[in-house]
Parts: sequence; C-alpha cells; structure tokens
Amino acid sequence: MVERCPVKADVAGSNPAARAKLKSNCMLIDKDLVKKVADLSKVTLEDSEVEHFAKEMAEVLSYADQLSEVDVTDAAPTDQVTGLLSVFREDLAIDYPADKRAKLLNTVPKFENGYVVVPKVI
Amino acid sequence: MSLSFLSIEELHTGLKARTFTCRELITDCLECIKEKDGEIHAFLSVYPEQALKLADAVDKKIQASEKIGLLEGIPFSVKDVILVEDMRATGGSKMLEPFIAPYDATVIKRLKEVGAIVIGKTNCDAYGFGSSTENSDFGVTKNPHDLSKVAGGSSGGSAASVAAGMCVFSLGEDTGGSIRQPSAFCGIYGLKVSYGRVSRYGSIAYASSFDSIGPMARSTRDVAIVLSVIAGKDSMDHTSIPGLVPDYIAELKATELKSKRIGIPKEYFSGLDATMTKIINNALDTFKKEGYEIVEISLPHTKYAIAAYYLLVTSEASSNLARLDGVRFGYQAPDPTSIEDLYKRSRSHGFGPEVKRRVMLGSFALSSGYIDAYYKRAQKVRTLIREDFRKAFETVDLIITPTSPFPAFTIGEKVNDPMTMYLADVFTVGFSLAGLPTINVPCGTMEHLPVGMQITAPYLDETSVLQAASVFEQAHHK
Repeated sequence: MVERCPVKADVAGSNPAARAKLKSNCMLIDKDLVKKVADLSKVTLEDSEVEHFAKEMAEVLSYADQLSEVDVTDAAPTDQVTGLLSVFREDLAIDYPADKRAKLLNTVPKFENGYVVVPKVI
Repeated sequence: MSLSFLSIEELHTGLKARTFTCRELITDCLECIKEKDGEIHAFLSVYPEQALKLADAVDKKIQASEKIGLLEGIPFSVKDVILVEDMRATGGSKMLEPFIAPYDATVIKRLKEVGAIVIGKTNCDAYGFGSSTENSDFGVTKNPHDLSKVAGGSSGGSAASVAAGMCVFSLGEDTGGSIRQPSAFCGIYGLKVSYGRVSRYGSIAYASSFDSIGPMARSTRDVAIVLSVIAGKDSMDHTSIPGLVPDYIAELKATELKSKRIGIPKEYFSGLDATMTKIINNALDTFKKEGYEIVEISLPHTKYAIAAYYLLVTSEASSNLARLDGVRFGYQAPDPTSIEDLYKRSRSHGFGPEVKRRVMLGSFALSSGYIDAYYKRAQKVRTLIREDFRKAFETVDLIITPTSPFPAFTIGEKVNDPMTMYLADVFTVGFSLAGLPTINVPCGTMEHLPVGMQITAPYLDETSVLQAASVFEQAHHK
C-alpha cells in the first residue's frame, strides 16, 4: 500500500534535489487506509481532508522508509532511557481535600449527581 | 530598561536592599506585556491580580526585615502545557480551551514553595506539535527580534516572553527541540534536561519517553538557579531519577572544570550554511582560548534521527491524546448520538490539522501490519543512535552542534509543508532520542537574527553542560 520511496536523509534538510525527488516519486497512500487510520484515531475527516492527509502521510512515511536500510539485527528496542525498573512508591491513600476534588470534577463537561454523563453505551 | 531584564541575583539584591519593590518588578513585566504582547503574542493568559497580590506579600516580608529566598518574588511565565492551579491550560489547543487546571504540576509546586510568581501562560504549538507556534490554535507568536519571523516552537511563547523582558524566566517543555530551538531563534538560554531529571507530573503528555520540562532564561546562571529548584525525584513521576541532585549554582563557580574535551560531529556540519558554520567555528575558537580541546567525531546514525523520532513521537502522542475524548475534560460536541459520535465529533472539532496528522501517523505506525516495520524498527534505530552517543562520550566530554540549520524563518514559510517543518528539527531530535542534557547558548547573529549552539553532555551530567555554557557566555561577553 505504501510506495517505497527511498530518499537519503539530508542532514541539513536543505538539499532541494532530494526534496523534489521525495515529492515527485511518492505515490499517495490509499484513501481507504487514511479512513481506517482516522477511524482508529477517533476523528472524522471531510473528503477533501482525506485526500490531503493521504498525500502528506505518504510523504512522511516515504521519508520514514529510509529506516528499512538500517541493520537492526543486533539492536534491542529502546522503550525508555532511564534504566529504571520496577519503580514503586508507598501504597498510601493521599488526602485529597473536598475543594480540590470539586475542582477536578469541575473540568468534566457533563457531570450530574456525582456521575460523569455520557451517551448510552450498552 | 525594565527591571525584568535584570538577572535573578541582581533582582534579589535589589529587592533586599529595597532599591525597588516586588510590586514595581511585577508591574514592569505587566506593562511590558501590555506594550509589546499585542504584537508578539507570547501569552495565552496573564494573571495580573494574582501576581500583584503575591508581590505585595513579598514586599511585606521585606518591609518586616524577614529573609527572602533567591527566587522569592521573581516573575516567570509557563508554557501552556504545564498545569498551574486555577489558571487555564489549553496546551495551545481549542480542545482544552475551557480547561482550568485543578492542581499544580510538581515543577510549579516547587517554584511556588520558594516564592517565585507565575505571571501567565505562554503560547505553543498545540500539545507541542510543531517548530514555530504556527500550530497553536490561538495564533502565532512573533519573534521579538523581527516580527515577520517565527519565535520558534513549540515553546515559542516562553522564549519570546523571556527575550522581550515580559518576565525573568520561563518554564518550557522539550520533546524534540521545543525548548532549544525557540531559545536559539529568540537569543536566550534554554536547557533540555536529561530525561527524568525533572518531574513531568502535571504536564500535558506529548511523547512520554521524550518529554522534559526545563528552564529558559537570559543567562546560564539563571537557568542553573531555576534548575536547582525543579530538579530531583518526585514520587508522582516514576520516570524521575532518584538520588541527590548536584548543587548547580555552586558547580558554576567551580574553577576546576569537569569536562574539557569537545566533540564536533561531522554529520551536523555537512551542507551547513557558510555563515552558520563560521559562527559555530568562532564559538569553538573561544572554547579553545579557554583551554578546551576540540576533536572531530562521528555519529553515524544521525541521518536516521528525524525518521525514528517522528515515528516514535507520533505513536506515543496517538496514545497520550486518546484521553482527550470529550468526556473527562475540554471541549464536548453538542447532542451526541452515541459515545463513538461524541468522541469523534469532539476530537474532530478540537484538534487542528497538525494534531490530526500526528495522531493519525502514530495510529498508523502502531497499527496491526505496520507496527514492526515502523514503530518497532524506529525503537531499534533509537538504540543505535543512543549507542553512537555512548561511543562518542568514551572519547569526548561534550558535544557541540548548531541548534538549528537556520535562524528564525518567516511566518508562513514552512507551515503548509509538514515534512519541511519536521526537517527543521534535524539538529535537536538526536539528543532527544538519547535523552541527553543539552542547552542552547546564543553565539552570534545572522543578519539581525540570533543564532544558537547546542552543548550536550552524557546522561544526567547537566553540570558539564552548564559549566561549558557559562565559560562561553563569560568569554563571549568580555
């Protein structure tokens, strides 16, 4: 679905030839794929937006495709950089004053009788 | 000159000596905002009454000859992704326009405890998604040095507020360059701390394995003073680093420098603008005169940094922004027909084009069938980029690069081409992937626009970063 479009990264981002090649060689991402991704992202798109995003996503993903040339055989994935593992804190209830609680609940757009109101789910 | 252009220590001395009052200092800032911010648009909200009330309390203490702390009464601005209790926190997004923060972020709590005064919340690209504040839903922030140029982003409002003297310092947030690049564009000092050095509790999450909060100010010393307050373990953020935090202010006074070998990664200089190269080379000459050794190094995976970075941060952002569902806070679409309809219409209305773009790119990179080729591969490339730095730091103590390939660009120049905008982050994202501490230091001008360099040290070594920045700052201004 994604047209491979290997373009060498230009570190200074200023190589016009590479940028032109990137733009002209890239096929669009399939519109159905954009709609599927929009659905996963819980946003709705106008038809004109679908076309627009397809083009832009294709360009970005084609650029990202250069990662396929990297040999990652021996590389473990990095999830985080701290090296910290299993961080715990005391399992204590923290006193949360009523006025602070009220402030928290005040941020909910629809709130009635101590409940967050949403449309019928089941 | 406005009082707010003085350093923290000068202000502290002046307040104690009763040369001026805290009310006068805050009033100066408010007047500067009134005079300049109509054009610059650094602030999304300003809180004069609250600030003046706190100022009066500080003045009262001084009049009663009570001791005041170094940051007591010092006005600062806060990027709008960081929560300050009872103040708005839009994160630059329409989605959160109605949101009033119900509690203080840990960094704010700590600064309030030492008496610093929040003056207002600053503009940024929505959720930090951008490099120019043009993706803010509330309009662009203009560069105080040239109003036709961007202030940079995403912490552009913070950088402009400090550069224009509307406050003494600001708290920014940096995921892939959002403190450093606007600092470079506005000619100030901005520190991206090591990932985990400063608590992120109470900051609206963008990409959780990258985000860091840090100080932006007009001198290294001011940066160090603020850092010494906000750094350190917080039980509310499990990624914050335990253990003692160095005394950054004392370390700046140290005569024996910890690190003296600077690496220049050749990949950052190929194809670099000639004037920019000259400015950085002049800066390196200054370091040589100060006894530093300069060596060329290589970071071979540099060219993959942008691709790896954007795949990872959009993935993390797509997960983080799932919480913006129109149910718990922010904008809610009227008359929803179903829960799905509520989510979709609230988000479609509340999210601007760049937010939609990033959330969709992230959802794609994480989706079944693509996750291995995109997200997981990017995580592995991230490891290789970290390895590049680890190896480099076996032979050098510091790394210096330009912060941006160009000075502040013209408003509107890049905003309609997302890929070009992403490439603007080319020099900052590598250090973010590795979680390293790095500071923007102003080191010259191109035409009339500031240019900055980035000084980076190994993980958790903010001390070396600040020392080198300070050595240059003092030598440069001799």
